[in-house]
Amino acid sequence: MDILYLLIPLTILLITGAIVAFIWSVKNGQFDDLDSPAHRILFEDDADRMPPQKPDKREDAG
Amino acid sequence: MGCQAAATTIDACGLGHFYQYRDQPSDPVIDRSTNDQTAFDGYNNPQVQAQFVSQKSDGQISFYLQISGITCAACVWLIEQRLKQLPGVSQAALNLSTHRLLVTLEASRTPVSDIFTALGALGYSAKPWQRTEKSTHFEQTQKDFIIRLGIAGIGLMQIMMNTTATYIGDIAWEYVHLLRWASLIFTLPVVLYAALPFYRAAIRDLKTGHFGMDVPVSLALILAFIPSAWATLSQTGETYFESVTMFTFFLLLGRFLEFRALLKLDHTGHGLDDLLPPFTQRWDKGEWQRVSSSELAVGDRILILPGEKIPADGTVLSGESEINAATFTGEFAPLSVAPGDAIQAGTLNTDGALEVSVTHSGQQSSMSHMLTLLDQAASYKPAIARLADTGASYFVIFILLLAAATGLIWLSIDATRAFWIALSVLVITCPCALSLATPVSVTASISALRQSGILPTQGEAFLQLKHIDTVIFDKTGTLTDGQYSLVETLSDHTETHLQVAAALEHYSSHPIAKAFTNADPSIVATEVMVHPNAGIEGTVMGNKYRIGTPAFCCVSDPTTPLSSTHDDVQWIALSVVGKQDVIAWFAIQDCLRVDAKIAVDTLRSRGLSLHLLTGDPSTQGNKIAAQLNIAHCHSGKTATEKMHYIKALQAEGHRVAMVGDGVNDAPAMACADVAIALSQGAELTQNSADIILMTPKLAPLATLMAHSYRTHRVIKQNLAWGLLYNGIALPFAVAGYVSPLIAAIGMSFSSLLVVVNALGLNRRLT
Repeated sequence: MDILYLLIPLTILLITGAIVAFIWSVKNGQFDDLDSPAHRILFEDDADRMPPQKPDKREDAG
Repeated sequence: MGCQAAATTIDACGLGHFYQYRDQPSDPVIDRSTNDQTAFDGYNNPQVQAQFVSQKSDGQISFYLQISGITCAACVWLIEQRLKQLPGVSQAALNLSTHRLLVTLEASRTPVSDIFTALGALGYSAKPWQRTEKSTHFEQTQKDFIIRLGIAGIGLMQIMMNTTATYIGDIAWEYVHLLRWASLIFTLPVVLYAALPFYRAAIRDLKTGHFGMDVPVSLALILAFIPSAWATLSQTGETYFESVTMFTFFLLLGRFLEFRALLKLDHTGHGLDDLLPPFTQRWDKGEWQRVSSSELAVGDRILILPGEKIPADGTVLSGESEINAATFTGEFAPLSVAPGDAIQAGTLNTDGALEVSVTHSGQQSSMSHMLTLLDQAASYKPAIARLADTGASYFVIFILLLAAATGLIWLSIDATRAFWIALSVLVITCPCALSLATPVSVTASISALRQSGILPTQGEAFLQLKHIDTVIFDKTGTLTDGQYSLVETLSDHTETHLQVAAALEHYSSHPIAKAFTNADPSIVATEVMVHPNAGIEGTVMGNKYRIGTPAFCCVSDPTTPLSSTHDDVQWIALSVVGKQDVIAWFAIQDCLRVDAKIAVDTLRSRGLSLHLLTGDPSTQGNKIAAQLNIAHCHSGKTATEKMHYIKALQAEGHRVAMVGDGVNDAPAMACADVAIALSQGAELTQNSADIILMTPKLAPLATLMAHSYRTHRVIKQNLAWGLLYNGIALPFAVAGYVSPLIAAIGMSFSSLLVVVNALGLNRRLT
């Protein structure tokens, strides 16, 4: 159990790092839009990188 | 440009996925009379651009636009994809929370106006956005909240882990001590930073002598933390770090959700700038030049083309036209203006070009005065929060006194336990469940209402609805849809005469003209002359006709016929020039909304007294009141009279809700207990409204009422549970039987129950 004397201070350091990184990301504007990222992941904006598909499968796009 | 044009554009740009992604129906695309491609050219003017465009080092420019018409995330996709198709556009990022679009582009490849044109073609309207004090404040508050929540959340997770280890038992004291030290370190930022808003609010409360929930919350946090910290340092007693952080985290979460609900409602544009056009044409050095509207000074000569908004109060120098003052007066019927007439900023020029001499620039305009009036009226509003807090305030004082008394009594019984028992009383009775009962229910309700297209703009305003006993309706645009339609035709050759009428009315932009739809576009009128406020003359199929008021049609007998089915119509005559007979009568009606009857009946069945106040002096108000069975009807009321009418009702002890849409309702709406606006109304009114109906329908009124009652019921259940829990726990705590662990569990459990019950309100309404 003596390992706790190493692990607990280590947790404190890690968490401090996490909090600093979190504050930086908030101040950097990464949390400004809390709504669209949830939807954005579903959008197919990589059509140009996709291998060409058969025409019948793309009918719904029209 | 309408819905069809927007759909065609979407398809032509290969963006058909839009219809697959969207989960909310889009608003209908409104024809903004900007068919011509040059409408947005003013945005290419360097002077105009200087106000909102920032230059980048690599020759690109970037700017923010405020977009209106966004309904869901699919709009974000559509707009971003479309703009990225334009050459030179390197960035298009739309924030769904704020509806703000950031565009970065090379102006040499795509002029700024193309962005506006592209957005317009998709059916969205945009205007330049500039950072304001308010938006900066909101942004900062949101960042603050997220940081505090993050710190409290991360701290909570760690401390819970540490605490669980100590509760499991069979752990050596030296390790318990180590874990307590770790917990203390994680609690410090939570207590010192994350919980700061509670302390601030508590200090403010104490200064004003009013005891809100923040007082016991702060006290409990401090009183639980300091002895816990002391217990850690002195290696004796109990620690409550987990209670402290849990308490902070959940309370912060509740406040953050409330703040987000408010923030979402704020993105719709408001203020004077939205009602005025961004630029206008001014006579400068011998030619018309596009200048920013804010540059206009008294005495400037400006040109306003048909379809443009009027940027400043002024006097007409030359030109004849019709002015749609719907944003100003709420009445859709146009006013005709001629040289010498005064026109007001924010109204829309619909017919002909006008040369105007500016008499009052934007900030001094009558629109601005209306805003001031609005602010004054808003200050009459009773503070809802204060009413809701009265009961809570007494409870808080009671808890504080009780905890202190318990501590004092125990001092004489067992001095070593006195402080802990007093704290136990404070913790277990800490009105966590009670303080969550209302805000969580309100937040859940707002969320459900939002999904149904009802936006409460003030957190608790819709709760007030339960106390309402009087509902006042505006007529035009509220009970009626503000669009004229043809309801009856009296003619020997109905089809031919309708054709003639449609061909003639095609040349008018009067709202009445829209009532006539052209079935056969091959039949056109020639030699057309439009006479504002009278009618239209023109040649159709070889005959010269006049359509308009009976007087204009030179009718010998101007008595209008009686309609067999409709009694609240306006009659339009059609005659052949040179003859005295009317060959056809058309009955035009500003139709009642289809759901007006149902909505009004539902409200009446709830025992509400209904009133109709309208600015329209005609008898139509009385007819509509009779049709809908509304007992009290008053026509021809000005904004001030409406305000006094409401105040008189309030003085009699009535609680009044006002349903309206025009800006002339705004002062009345601000002094009503609850103001409800229909979304198609002027943006300004929405700003003063407590609740906005996003669909141009009245049926949501009934839903809104039902939901208000339901929310009240849940709040009562929650409060009852909170009181029951406190009532049972309190005697045990005072008697010293409650261990700290049970106090913490009891508090969490009661809060959890309240939250789960309240979230039931979150379900989408039917």
